[in-house]
Amino acid sequence: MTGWRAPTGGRIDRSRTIDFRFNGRAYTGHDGDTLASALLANGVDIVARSFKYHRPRGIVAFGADEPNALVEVGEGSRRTPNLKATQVRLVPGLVARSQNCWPSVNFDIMAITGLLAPFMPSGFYYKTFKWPVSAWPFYERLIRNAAGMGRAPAAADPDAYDSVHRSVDLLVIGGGLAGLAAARAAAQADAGTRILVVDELAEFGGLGTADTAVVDGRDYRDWVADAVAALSAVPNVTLLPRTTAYGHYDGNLVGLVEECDGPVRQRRWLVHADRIVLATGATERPLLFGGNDRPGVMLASAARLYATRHAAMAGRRAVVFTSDDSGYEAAFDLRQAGVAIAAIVDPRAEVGEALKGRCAAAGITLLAAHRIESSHGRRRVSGCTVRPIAGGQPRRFTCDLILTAGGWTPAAQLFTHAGGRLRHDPALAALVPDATSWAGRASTGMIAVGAAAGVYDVAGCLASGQAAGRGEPPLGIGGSEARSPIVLGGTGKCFVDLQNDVTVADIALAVREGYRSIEHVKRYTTLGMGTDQGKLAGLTGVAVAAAAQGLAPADLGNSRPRPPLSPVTFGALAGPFVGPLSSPARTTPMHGWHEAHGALMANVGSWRRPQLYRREAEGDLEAVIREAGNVRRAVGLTDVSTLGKIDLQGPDVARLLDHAYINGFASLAPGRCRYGVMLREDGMVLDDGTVTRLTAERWFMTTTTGNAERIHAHLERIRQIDLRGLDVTITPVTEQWGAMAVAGPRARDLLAALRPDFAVDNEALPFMALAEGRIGDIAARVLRVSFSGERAYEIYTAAGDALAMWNTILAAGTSFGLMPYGTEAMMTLRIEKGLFVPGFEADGRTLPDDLGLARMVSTKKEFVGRRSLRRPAFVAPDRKQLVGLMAVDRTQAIPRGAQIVRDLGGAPPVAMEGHVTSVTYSPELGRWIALALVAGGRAALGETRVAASPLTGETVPVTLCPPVFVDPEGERLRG
Amino acid sequence: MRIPCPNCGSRSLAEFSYGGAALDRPPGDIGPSPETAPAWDDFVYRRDNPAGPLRELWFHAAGCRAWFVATRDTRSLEFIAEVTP
Repeated sequence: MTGWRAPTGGRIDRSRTIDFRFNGRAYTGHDGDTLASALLANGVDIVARSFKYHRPRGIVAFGADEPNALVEVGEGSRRTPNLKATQVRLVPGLVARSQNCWPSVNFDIMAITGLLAPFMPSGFYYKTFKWPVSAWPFYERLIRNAAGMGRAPAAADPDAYDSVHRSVDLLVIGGGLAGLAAARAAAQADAGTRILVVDELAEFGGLGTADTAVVDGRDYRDWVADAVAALSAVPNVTLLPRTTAYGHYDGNLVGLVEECDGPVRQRRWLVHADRIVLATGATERPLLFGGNDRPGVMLASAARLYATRHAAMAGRRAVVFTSDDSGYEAAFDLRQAGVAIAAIVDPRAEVGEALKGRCAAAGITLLAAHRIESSHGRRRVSGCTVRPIAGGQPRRFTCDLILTAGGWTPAAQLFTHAGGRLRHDPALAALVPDATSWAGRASTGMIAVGAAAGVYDVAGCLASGQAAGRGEPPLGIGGSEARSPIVLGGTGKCFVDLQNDVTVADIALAVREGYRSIEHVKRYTTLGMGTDQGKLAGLTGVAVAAAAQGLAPADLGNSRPRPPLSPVTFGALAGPFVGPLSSPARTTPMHGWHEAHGALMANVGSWRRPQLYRREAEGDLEAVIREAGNVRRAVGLTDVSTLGKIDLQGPDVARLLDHAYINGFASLAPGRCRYGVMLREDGMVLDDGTVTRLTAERWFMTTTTGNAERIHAHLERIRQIDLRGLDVTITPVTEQWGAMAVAGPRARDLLAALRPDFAVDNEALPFMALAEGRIGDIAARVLRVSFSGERAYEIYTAAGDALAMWNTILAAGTSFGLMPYGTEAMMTLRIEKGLFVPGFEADGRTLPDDLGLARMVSTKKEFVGRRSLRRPAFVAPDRKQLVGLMAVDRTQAIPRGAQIVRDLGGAPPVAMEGHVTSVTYSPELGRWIALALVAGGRAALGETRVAASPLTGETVPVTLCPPVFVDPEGERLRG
Repeated sequence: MRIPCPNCGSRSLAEFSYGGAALDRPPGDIGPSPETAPAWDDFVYRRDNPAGPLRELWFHAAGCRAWFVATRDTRSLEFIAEVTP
């Protein structure tokens, strides 16, 4: 408990005290605090346990780069795991909890794994938990529990989320010095430029520039206030604080998440930008030494920011370990704020005279060419050992805080998301965005400015921002003097990746075991694979892996960060499109009737369709049997409005159809329908349906429900690309027509009873013929087609008339025993007739011959897919062919999706000869039947196989039979 | 990602369906012959997967319903040439 709150200073509102709870204890903070700053001010030093060894851990960083302080925030359905305490705004009543500990952070049972550390080298999981294979699920559960990944809430998310699309001319990511300079320059160059400036924090100004800095002759805070006021006054400029850019996607699309107050918790923005200026600043690198994970070890810049922004002091007495001049500035600022500086330890031999002089003036011990070897302390830092780089006598310092400053790494993750390359700059000892990444690109690439480009001085940030805002090429990065060397270790455990507990020794072991590429080292050791995405660890990890191979970091390259940059909630990604809005639901004109009459509705593609109509005291299977049986015995009515419908007009329609279907259409007479099958160019069945020739130049096509859009695109492609110049107009009219099928032996009697103004007898309206006219006062188009094998009529009306027609038929049908039937009964009827359906039998791997359609295939014309049918593998006798199945024991059901095997003898693996595609109970046959695709099935009719379902454990002997179970001669539908 | 439709201008990817490489369909002579088979197999199966410019077909399904050819650099996913209706 060594953190404290300074009595003055900081940008917190001391008049407003905020109560919050952390790990069950009550604390107070102030408005303007983050959870992290409030915990520091309250002296809470252990905030988490580490991922693998369960070592105590404290707060290390100030923002998104925090590796340790992962917390769950909120309770019940609002509990959010994996938040970084450094990014959680302190609000009244906040409840937060450490994630990776049990029963508490101060007494963690799993800390015993720390004692086992020598037995948990890199690749531990791969080496240990792989035998026996069947035990992996057990191991996985244990590991997941031990690793404390945070708990997702069990209840539905009660919050609302919003989603916004925006196109801008310029997107500025990061509202610090360089970002604001870029936006101002762009707005000044052309006030019409649509500009969006986003920043993670609630206040613009960023973290990289000290309040005491002087910009354009003014105090930085004043300069920021001016810039924000000037930009706010421009109508085309939008400033978005508390907004994180989490990823860059193809075509300069950037995803943003805005934290909101009020009814909407978060708003997701998808922004298309012509130009993107990346002003995301830089991340300070830690320096490594033994025990560098002990609570009390912190980034110097973070301690400085907590002190200056929140008046939250991380300790009383600090040793500053720095290889970069910025570490000295942090030390001076902290001393000013009331933290004693025990020593500054700098591994560099040469330290600037100015810094030396300031240290002397402040009475700070400066140890150049020294390094910290290790930290001491039981639960947190109580001191450290310092030794000259060249070797020699160690010195011990008493301190409660060790601050490290290892130089800066540009936060250029979004630059690599966009496809940009990073280059290793020896002067900066850092990976910086390579401005030549976009050479040869058609569009403007992303331009990094300020610290994100490796520019760390005020004048340079201002100039690079302004140049990018005006659309000028990026400025070169000056300086050739090597600085900020990376210190690679000490004695004891040196952690490279604090979040994933990856040490210098782990990386060295991975290299010894043969992992060379940084991408492989990363995956093997889990370096940089935590939720912080290795923001702190990345470059240090590269340096360690390079050194282990005797390479310079530049030669090893870097691992490529991928979106998202920081975790994004599912709520933000889903936006308002949840529940009924998650996907559009299409309904037919009869939808209300179905719902009012006990229909069990189901999704079929984007449509809602009635599966069956429930009656009281009737099970679902009984309902299907009743509905399907009634079609065979009397007459049924079903809603087929969802069928894809396409209107085709012009003199060349027959040529288009001949190219699209395997069978010919030129010979089809007006007033007649024909069934057709389409293929893809690779010969596989694409779809089927009917085409009716209404007049010489006007045709009407139906497609299956799920394929309507696809077939429309397919026909347009033939018209526009394959057979250019055809005089055909293709109009999708699915929504314009309502449709219903009347099917059953009494269908014609019922149709006649409706008193149409056209003849319906078998001579006037035979199978596959058309009649048009009026039924009552409703204009109708009647097709004598059948999907049930019964005498059947599809009646098409204008969509607005369909419900009236439906009701008219129902009213007239009472005396004929009419019942409505749903899609389940429809499936039963078509399976009894052996009719295939795209998606079940025609699954994208079936040829016309596989489905028994060889005789339909025209040999007199070219059509899509024809030339693929000759391929040797496509005419092989052992192809899977459509057959029917009946269980040998007629009381047995055939399991859905079962595999067909020859018999049950012999040891596994058993050769799979085919699979069941559709199953139904056949009311007509009084037994379960199925359709199946079986290798060489047509030559094996009458033989017995076994339908085996590993999922349900069922094995059912079945007999192969022809796929048409009912009325194979088709007398019923023609009669 | 945005796609340049020749009729509608630059529109969101969500409005389009993809049609694969814009290859010329081998002429549809009647009767498969051993001579024409390799060309057909090239058209259906043996397609190039270039790292660089690729001529390809797009369908503006939620727009003007035009199929058009556009050239896209598969490395940067940028459309780099004029589109042809």
